[in-house]
Amino acid sequence: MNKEMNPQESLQIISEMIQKTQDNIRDGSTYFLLWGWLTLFASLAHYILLTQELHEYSWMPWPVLMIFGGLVSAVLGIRESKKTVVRTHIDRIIAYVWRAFGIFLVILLLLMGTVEYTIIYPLMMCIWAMGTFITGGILRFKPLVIGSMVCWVLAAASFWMSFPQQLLTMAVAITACYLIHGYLLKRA
Amino acid sequence: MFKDLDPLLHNQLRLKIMSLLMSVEEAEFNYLLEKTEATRGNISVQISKLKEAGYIEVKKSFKGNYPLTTAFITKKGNSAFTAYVDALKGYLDQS
Repeated sequence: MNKEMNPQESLQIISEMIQKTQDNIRDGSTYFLLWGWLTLFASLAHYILLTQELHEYSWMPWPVLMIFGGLVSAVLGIRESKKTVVRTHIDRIIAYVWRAFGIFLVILLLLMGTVEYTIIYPLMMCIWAMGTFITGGILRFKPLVIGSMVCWVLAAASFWMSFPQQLLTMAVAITACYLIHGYLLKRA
Repeated sequence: MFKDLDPLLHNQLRLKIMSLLMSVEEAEFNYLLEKTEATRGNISVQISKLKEAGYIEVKKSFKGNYPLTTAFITKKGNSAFTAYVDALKGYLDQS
């Protein structure tokens, strides 16, 4: 093990080891799919309840599904931390991007009663498009970058839409941004 | 032979450990063991040497009921590694 190496052998070792760390990029597709489906259900349920004249309770799917999502994510996170033996720089950067999204989301929800509610969902879409864009860039995964562009266009357009239309737009944006790419990421 | 090369890094196993730690944020002992395909005893010795030199830092904690050793590279280790690679390049350019 400790025999004299020549420079070529040294470089060989370095590149071999760096290669071995490449397959550690964690598969985040589970989270994309979980949150994609939950948000899709919540926005469609909200839309259906709204159009069925059940205005008072129409927002209920959001807290219920989001709390559920938070719990499932926490369980998945704990399970993952048990088997994780390495943490890459990429893992840390991506975690911070989505934590920032979470913090912004909480601020938006707190604003719910005080600002015009029709700007809330478009803003939310802009921010998650941003998270997806950055994640796609870091992972060098083009479909995520393209999905975030689609999401941005829809988000911008939805500023001029009525509230029920915004809900449907959001359902389309989620499918473009999270779901399709969650499945692609899983396959990749 | 190859006098300018840092003797601490110019060793197969220590170089393997350093290369792995250069590309990640931190790694557990078992991860290093698996990727370097070295023996427990040998890897422990080399980790201690790198730690003594201040090239890496070692954290001891617990995961469930098992002791957990995590290692990460220090600034000093980072510059030493970069200098080592530069020195290697020098040799290769000569040949």
